[in-house]
Amino acid sequence: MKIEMILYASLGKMAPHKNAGSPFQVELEADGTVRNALEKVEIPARHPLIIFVNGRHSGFDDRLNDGDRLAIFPPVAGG
Amino acid sequence: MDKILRIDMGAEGGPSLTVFPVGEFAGLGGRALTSAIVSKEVAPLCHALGAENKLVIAPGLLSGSVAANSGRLSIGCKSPLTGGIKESNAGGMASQTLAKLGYAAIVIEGKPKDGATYKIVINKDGATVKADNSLKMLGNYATVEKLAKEYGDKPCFITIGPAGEMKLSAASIACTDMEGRPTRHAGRGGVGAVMGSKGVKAIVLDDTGASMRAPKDPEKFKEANKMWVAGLKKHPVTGEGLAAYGTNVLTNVLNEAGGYPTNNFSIGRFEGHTKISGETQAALETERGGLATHGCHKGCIIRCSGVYHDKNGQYLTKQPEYETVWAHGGNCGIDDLDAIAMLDRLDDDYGLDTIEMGATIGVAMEAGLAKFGDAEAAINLVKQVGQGTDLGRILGSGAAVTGKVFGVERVPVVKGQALPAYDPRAVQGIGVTYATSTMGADHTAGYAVGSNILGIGGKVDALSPDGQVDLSRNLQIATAAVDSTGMCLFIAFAVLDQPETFQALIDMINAFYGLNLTGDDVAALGMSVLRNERDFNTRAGFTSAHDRLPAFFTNEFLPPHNIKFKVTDTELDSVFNF
Ligand code: SF4
Repeated sequence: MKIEMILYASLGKMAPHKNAGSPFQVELEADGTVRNALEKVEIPARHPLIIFVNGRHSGFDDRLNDGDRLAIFPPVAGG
Repeated sequence: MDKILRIDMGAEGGPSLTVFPVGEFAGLGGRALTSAIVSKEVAPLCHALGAENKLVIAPGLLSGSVAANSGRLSIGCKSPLTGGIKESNAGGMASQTLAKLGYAAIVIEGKPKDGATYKIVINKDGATVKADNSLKMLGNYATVEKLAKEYGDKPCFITIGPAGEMKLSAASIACTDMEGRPTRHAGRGGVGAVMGSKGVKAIVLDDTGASMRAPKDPEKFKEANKMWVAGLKKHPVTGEGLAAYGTNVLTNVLNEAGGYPTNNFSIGRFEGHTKISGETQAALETERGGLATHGCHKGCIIRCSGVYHDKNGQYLTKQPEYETVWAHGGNCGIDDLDAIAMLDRLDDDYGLDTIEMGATIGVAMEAGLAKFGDAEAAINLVKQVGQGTDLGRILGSGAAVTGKVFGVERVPVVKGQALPAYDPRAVQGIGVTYATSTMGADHTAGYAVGSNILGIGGKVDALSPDGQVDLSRNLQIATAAVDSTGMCLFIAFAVLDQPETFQALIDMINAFYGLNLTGDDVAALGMSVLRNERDFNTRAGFTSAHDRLPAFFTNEFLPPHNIKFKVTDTELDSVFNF
């Protein structure tokens, strides 16, 4: 299956196109998880990261579905 | 900080100044002090622009010391925007300076009868008030430039722009930053209009010859400040994230979360988000020779701010922060950082709250005064406020007034104050804070976005009503305490995640004042601040009906999650159960 992945802020450099905030496609096995997607871009699956799948908070072991949008942020905040 | 300067602007024969010992208010600082004075001394049913209202300006408990990030200033009064109590918080140099000069607060009372424009000058020899009509209706930038010519660039300045002089409810009070620019505003609640109603255009604070405040126990204080600095440096957000991208890093986060209020709170995602994100902004600032990392006052080690240059590499404004970029950006469908920076500059110069103005322009766009996305039209609308045209005065009175004048139903305000940059349907915890805060809609009053979205201070599902009331209550209590210390609220990210950093803060206060406070005492302080504020608001006529979000948040579904605000009224009424 294919998912859409977006890496933000300082993680942008880990994307194939090295751009923060631009989506790219990732191929995963049918039962792939967030962890598997992170392996593809060589981001260690350890906290703290902010992870959204289709706009909902998710964890490393959450299953992904074809066409999902996976967005990853390093720990950031503002206000 | 053992004295209070009271200035009666309405005294017979001209303004009179009296210095009092801090007396019954000893041990209070920042918001605790402004809210104690306002709730005790201001008649809750008075007109906010009348002689009976008081403007209270107070540094925090640790301001003027070497404690890192301790330079935030509290400004309190009865708000002309909400009709309730107000504490508006600002960075810049004023808090440290006022504290070093030994003042726990300046209280400006009464109302001059002569219509003159006054300036207050405070230095180590005392304080004076003088009429200076040459400052009348100048923008904040021109005002501080003129003051710097007269007093040099060493002092810092607290000023209002034309919006404050016109007594508009969205008017802010500006404090100069380290470079002497009027960029740090006590924005919320129309505090600038109250200063304007007192006839005060500027306060000059000169700490030449004054030394840093000395702690009671210097050794212990030094040790605690070391732990404090180490804690702020260690946390990824306060140590790194805020410096690199500023608060505007949140644009992409909230957009992903589907909680980024777009086109006047009608959808939760904005197509142009990457064009105005913190990442894009930081790169642009660096490229143009501005600064992507900058502190708003001496002693800030988090440095969430920056300096924004225009296309020609000339200074335009400070780095517009997330709330501003959202208010004037996505909320109005605008995806042009230069236009947003221009709006920020205009707001700062006229002396306007960027959140209130962005929300107001959003409402005006909904009313058809301009099209969503039309940056030029937005700039022209804000310019009308500065010019004081009839339309400008309506807009400068905020989103609630504008919505009423133009017959708009979707008006994002609570207690008359505009909502900031998080849609309460997709971030339900912040909705509880918006609804119940004593301040009107205010994200800083209990920043549930941390646990709802950012994974800071625990995790509470943003889309569910469960646990939001407890979360908001605890944060509102903690925030009221932090706002009393003079600490920048962003320290909370480290304090909530690292118990030893929280302890270092308490240790600093204890070493500074020779106290033995515990975490429970800090919570008790926060609760007492909120009780004072609630009490004032009740006497001003507020009931539980005012602790509600506008109806559209419970009636309209917000895409992409297609969700409504689900926290019940009964739950909202249980926030202040202490
Ligand atoms: S972190 Fe930002 S808002 Fe806080 S004191 Fe520093 S520059 Fe000012």
